[in-house]
Amino acid sequence: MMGHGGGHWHGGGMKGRAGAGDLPFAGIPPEMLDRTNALMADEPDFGDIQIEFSHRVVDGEPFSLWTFLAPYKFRMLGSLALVALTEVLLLIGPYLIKVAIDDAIIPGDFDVLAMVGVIWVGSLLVAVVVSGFRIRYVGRLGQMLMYELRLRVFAHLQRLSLDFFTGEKAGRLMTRMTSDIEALSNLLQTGLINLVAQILSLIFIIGILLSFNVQLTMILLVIAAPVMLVLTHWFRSVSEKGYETVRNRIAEVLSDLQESLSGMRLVISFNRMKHNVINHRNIVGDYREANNYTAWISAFYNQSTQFVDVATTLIILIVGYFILIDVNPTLDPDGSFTVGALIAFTTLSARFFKPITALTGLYNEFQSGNAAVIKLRGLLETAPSVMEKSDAHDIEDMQGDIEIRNLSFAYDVGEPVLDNVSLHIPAGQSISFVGPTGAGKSTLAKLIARFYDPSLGEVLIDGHNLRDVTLHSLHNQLGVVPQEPFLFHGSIKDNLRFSRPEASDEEIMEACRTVGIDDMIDRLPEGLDTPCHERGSSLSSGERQLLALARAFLSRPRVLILDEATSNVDQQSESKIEHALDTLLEGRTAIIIAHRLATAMRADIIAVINNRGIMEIGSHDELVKQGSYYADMYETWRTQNEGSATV
Amino acid sequence: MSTTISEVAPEILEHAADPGEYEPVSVERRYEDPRATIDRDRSKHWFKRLFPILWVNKWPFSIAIGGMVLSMLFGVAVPALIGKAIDALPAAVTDGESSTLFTFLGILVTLATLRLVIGFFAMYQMSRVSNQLEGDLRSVIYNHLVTLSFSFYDRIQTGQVISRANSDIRAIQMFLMMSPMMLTSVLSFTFAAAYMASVSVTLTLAAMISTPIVYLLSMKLRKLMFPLSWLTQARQADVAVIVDENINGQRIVKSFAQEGNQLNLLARAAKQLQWVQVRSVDISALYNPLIENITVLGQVLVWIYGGWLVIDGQIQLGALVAFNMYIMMLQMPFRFLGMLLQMEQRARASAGRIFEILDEEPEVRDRDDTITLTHPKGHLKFDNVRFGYKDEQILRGLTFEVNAGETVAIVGRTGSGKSTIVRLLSRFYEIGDGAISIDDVDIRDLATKSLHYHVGQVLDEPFLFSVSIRDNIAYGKPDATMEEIIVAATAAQAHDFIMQTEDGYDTVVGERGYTLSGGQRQRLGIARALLLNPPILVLDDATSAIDVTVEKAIHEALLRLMENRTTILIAHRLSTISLADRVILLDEGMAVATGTHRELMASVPRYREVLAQQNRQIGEPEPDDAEQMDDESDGEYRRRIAAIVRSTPKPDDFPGGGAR
Repeated sequence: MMGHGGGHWHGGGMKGRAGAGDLPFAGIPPEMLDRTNALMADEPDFGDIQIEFSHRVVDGEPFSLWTFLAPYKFRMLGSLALVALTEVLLLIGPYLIKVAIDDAIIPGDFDVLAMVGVIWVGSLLVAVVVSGFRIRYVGRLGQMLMYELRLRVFAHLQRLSLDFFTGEKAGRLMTRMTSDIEALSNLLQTGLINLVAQILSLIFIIGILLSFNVQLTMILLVIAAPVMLVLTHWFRSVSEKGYETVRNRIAEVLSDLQESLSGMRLVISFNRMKHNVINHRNIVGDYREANNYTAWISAFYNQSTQFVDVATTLIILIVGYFILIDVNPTLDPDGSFTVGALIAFTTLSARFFKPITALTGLYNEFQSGNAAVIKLRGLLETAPSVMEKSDAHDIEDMQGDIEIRNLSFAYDVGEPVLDNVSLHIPAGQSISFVGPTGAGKSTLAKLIARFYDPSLGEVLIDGHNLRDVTLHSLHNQLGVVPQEPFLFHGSIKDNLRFSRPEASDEEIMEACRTVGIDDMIDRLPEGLDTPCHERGSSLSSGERQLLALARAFLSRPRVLILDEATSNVDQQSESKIEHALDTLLEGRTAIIIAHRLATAMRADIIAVINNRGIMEIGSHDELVKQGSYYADMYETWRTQNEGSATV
Repeated sequence: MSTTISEVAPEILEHAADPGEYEPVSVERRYEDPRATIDRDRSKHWFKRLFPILWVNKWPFSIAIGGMVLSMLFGVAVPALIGKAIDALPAAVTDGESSTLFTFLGILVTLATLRLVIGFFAMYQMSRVSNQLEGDLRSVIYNHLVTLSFSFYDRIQTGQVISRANSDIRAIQMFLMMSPMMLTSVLSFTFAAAYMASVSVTLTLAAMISTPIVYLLSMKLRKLMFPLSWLTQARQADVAVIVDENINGQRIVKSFAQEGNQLNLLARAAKQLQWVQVRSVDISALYNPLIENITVLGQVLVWIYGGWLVIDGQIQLGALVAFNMYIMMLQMPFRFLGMLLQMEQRARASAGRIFEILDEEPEVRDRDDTITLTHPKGHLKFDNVRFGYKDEQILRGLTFEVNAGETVAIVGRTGSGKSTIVRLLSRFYEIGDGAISIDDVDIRDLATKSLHYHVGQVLDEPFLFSVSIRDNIAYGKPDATMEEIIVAATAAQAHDFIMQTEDGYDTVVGERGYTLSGGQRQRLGIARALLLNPPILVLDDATSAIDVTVEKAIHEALLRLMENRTTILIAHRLSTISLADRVILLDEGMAVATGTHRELMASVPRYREVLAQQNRQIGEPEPDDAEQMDDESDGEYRRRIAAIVRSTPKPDDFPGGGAR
């Protein structure tokens, strides 16, 4: 469904959208287009990957960095060894400088100089190979880990029950799979490695510096390093706050712009232009001030680190001079401290600051990586509220005989939605749930589909307690059409086939004919292959609902649940749906929750649900005769309808 | 409470007479307006068109440039001076002649300090200028947007404008800020190279030999990486799309038992993502070590060949140290030049897109000598008005009159042009032919703002801003007192439900706030129009979601608040039509009949047909609304997802290389 194979973004399409903003998918410069297309042609077709999926949660240790990496501990150690090697290779240079000055340049020995050159170049060649290998090894390992993690988190999402997906949680779930995994990936691929690399590099550098001169090293460690550390720490914390303000302010600028654009017709008709212009200027001005603040911080940090750099060199030269006078006034190249050592010291001291600044930055990366681990652990530890038993069995050949026994249910403890409900729906019969909003009609339907488990009592289909059956076999033979027809991005065909991926084109068209959208599909230029979300071919809400019905029909469910499926559609679509219902309901058990009485009336049985239970139940005629709640509803509806007809 | 208010109401909602009040402002100006706008001449080069906005900052800009050049010069001098100090070192140690050494060190301390101060000041100033420029550009765009007409807003997609206002402005700002920095670095390259050449030409060449190789390799790497990082983003978005849909469509996934297939789908997308990322890893594993170590190769050459020169007595050891420090400076400009060219391309394209907006001309403009409408009586006249959007002809010679103080209902089937009348009356669009007049003055002769002030209109789906209820009602009169707002809300029968919301009048509504029902939104829309108490009021299906009894109460309040108001009701419902003195039947873009409801029912069969048809169609959205349905196109959707993907911190994919 998603795998467009990339054809979507080729040149022609790009030109069509020229000027539509340079966002990732529109902004391919023309000179890069060929390369991009070539790359996509190279991309292997991974075909249909089949991953084992089970509703049962695999018991394991809680998710943590440690348990996540434990299976790969040898590879991790291998990575660390490679990192250490790279760092050592990087530090050969400064050491060779000292050798070159003291043993070759000052004594004037060409042979030693040549040898230093050969060794240095040789070390560079080794470094190219080793660090190339390191990048490859660590990178591939990281990517593999990320793949595993994506699958693991997503598989768990599939297991979680519907209550987990409601409301604002959805947005947060999204970040679990995107930014949290990304943060963890950064931590693993750059953070951890960098941490080790920088610590090692710091140790090596200090070691070499100590071998050059202890006093100078102490000066570096006691004076320069703390200054740099404090400066960098200050910069990180202040700029973090500064940039957060910038982000918030730009969000305000953009949301003000967005609202102004959406409401521009009102702005014009209420003469709000001047007011809004000043207001926007204020918001933009605040944003500018926030930017200026961060500019101040950056400029200060930038210049002062450069200053510290130069100042350190100066201090080293001055102190070095006094040390030289003290310990080696003749500048003997074999002395305990030499000019070469001093020069090498100054070149190396610049490099000494790098790990220090990097380490303060890594702290942030660790924090966000750690936060991601905690959030992911929280997600992976969430148990689905509807659990499949380990010895669950399949419902074979569902007939659709539904029995509800003494069922009670509450979303929140102490606020029961349904209380001691019993109901029997014989196979092949249709039933309507009517009653006031919030009476529990939808909840009852969701319990039958086992989106939730009842707090008390049980639901049986064909005599199987739903708690004992596999979710797959249950849902495979059940179709639900909710109020909001959710369509996936992809073609109409993809969406219809969603319920039964193996369905043939004929079967799909057959389903379309049944719900009466075949003519609509014929009218579309691309027919079944029309994308559902492309502007211009947008479907009306009625058409979407009809598609959802066709989708449900295609899955040939034994039990069909229409949950307010007709409440958001126009007259024309509604009559189509009602027409289609005759075919749809034939030979299956159906549960219809309808806002409009005209739809509800079609069912064999009508149940009025009110006050946490079933208030009346019977056929339309019986209930009208009974002269109670339903009869009143029917009467109101009838007079209203006639009223409008006589206008 | 409400009774006392309704008694004093007419006095409170007194009509504004001062033309200056037609454009209400109740926000304190905290920043001065942009002092310049872009050059109007479309034929000019993009930079020249932007130049006026830059030019107003010429002094801070020049000072910043001057400071940057100065600080750069100091920066270039540092290695040479350190070299000199090192050369003076042996003599100082062995012979005790330390004065030369300390002279150089003294100069160095002074230079470093000066550089700290000047460099900081220049860098900060430069950022300030570029921030000023960015802010000004944002305001210039916004200020232009509010002058544009409805036709522009019918045509554009909000998302596009936002993206222009965001990434495009930033691209320009980046270019304008980075280019001086890059140019100074090129300058520093020149000075450094000159100094080095003065010491030894051959050694300079040796030091620079790796630079072009590194440059070529970086370019190659960048070329290779671009498609990869692009595809990575696309594949990340694919994953995000699947996750997003899976979360939002979880009920569908579950009810068709497609969990396994969804997992397979994700596995495929994740595999694709893994593939492209591994490709990137492989390429950077090949190029990055090469780039890094070839940079070091320059250093090796300097020490070995330079060492040979020192032994040979051609140069001094200090020069070697200085050369070693200059190598980094030599690398920068090459890289920057490539970046600069790229940034210029981006900025040019971005500027083009921004100019597209700024070059838009408002369709409706005031004439030079306009008449300001004051205290209109409210006699309206449409005289043979023709109008169409694009090719579609809507009004075909519409003629009708509404007397001052009259309440008229306009009835017609969908697409007959009812809603268009409202928009034309407020001159949101320019009519094709014919004339519309208020009190016998052609609306095209009126100052548009005075026209808008006196013609209030309420649409069936009122847009609410994401601000408090109070601010939404006061939208047209931001300085309204609380008392006035409550009067308007009470008249619109909104006061009671407002008081029931959590924060009352301070409850934030709109897209990002508290969700109101359709009827509640409509009542706020009415209150918003009533606050201005306009002498001419158009209600375009404005009560369609409101209960019949409430609707009646609203109309009674309308009458009480102002007698002699001219009211046009565009209506579907009989209950609404019955509030009118007279009905005008619209068909095929013309007024075909007029009279009271009873008269038309009795004598015009077409009227009965239209009414009957409409009552069957209640709830069916008009085509206008269908277009505005919140349905993202595939492209927009991908972009939104891409934005989510992009908002996550990512390691810089610019191939750094060579930095160590």
